[in-house]
Amino acid sequence: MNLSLPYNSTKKGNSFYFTTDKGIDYKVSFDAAFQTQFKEFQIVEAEIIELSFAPVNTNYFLLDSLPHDARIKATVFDLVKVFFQQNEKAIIYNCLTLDNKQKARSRLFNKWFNEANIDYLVKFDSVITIDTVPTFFQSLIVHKQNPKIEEVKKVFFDLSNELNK
Amino acid sequence: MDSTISNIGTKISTIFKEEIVVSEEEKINEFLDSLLSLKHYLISQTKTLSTLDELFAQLTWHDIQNEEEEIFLKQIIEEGKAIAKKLVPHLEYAKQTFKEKIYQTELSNFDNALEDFEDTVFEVEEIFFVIRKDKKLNDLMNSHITINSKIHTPKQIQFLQYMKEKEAYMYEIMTGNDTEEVEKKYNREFITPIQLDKKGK
Repeated sequence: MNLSLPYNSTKKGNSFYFTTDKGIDYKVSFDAAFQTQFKEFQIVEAEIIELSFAPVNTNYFLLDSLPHDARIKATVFDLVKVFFQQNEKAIIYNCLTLDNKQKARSRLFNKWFNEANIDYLVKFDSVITIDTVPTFFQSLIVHKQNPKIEEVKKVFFDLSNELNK
Repeated sequence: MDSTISNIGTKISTIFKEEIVVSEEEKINEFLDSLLSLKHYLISQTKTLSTLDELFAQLTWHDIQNEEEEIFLKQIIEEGKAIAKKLVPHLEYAKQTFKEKIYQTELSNFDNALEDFEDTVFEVEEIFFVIRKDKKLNDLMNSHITINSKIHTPKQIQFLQYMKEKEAYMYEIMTGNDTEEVEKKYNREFITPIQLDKKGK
């Protein structure tokens, strides 16, 4: 089996779904709520869309026991590539903190990004510390040819700096 | 001592099958034909309902241990609700028949026991399937993202509220509630790459 082969994803509503070999359904979404909420930071109209992906309709407390599956990474980044083929917006990824494993998620996302090896994308990372605890791990992915790359980076780090005050 | 939901549930199930009399109208008529039998019926059913009431209350001393136990508990609750529903017409029929002339104490006791039983079944369902589940979610939501207007800046509060809402949404979809209604509830604005393209940069 080719472990780098993406699963077939289908569009339902405004999200993408795919099912792994183990029968786990995943949802991948590009969410504009983030830029709506933080529009005051969009000083250069740099639109930033939030990427979310997660298994759906499963037992949250069993998530840790889900098997490692390289094809999930391949599918998510396949959709990320589609995203960047069709627009010049940037993607932000906020690691979930529900189970306090945000740091591990951040490491995994970094590994996935490096392994995906998409040469026209660049990633920036920031950590938002709340009450002296590094709590929110964020990544920004931008197309290297994005003419607004510097402005987008500024928006991303301005938000991070503001929140870290 | 009944120490598990399964043990108590089995006892409840046995009483449902062997001691609760949910008879056809004809059988009730037979009861009503014999005043003595009626009195006995009212007293025994009142006692049985009180026993069931206590057993249902004991269920809440425990947590659900596994999926099998959860299914069994739901079944017991549904059977309890169905039995209460069937007993109500019997009580009303008896009340109308005797019109406050005989067996008023027994009828009143039966009425109270049935009402208590209905309330307890409802409460047990609420405790297991609404309050405790919400508490699990609330514990999860509140354990790591706490907002304090005295120490957090307005921007931090805005961000923390956003993340709390986003994580509550993610929790819901991951645990079986991936619906359009939930997307709306949490103000998600999903757009596909194609739609983004059409909207322009």
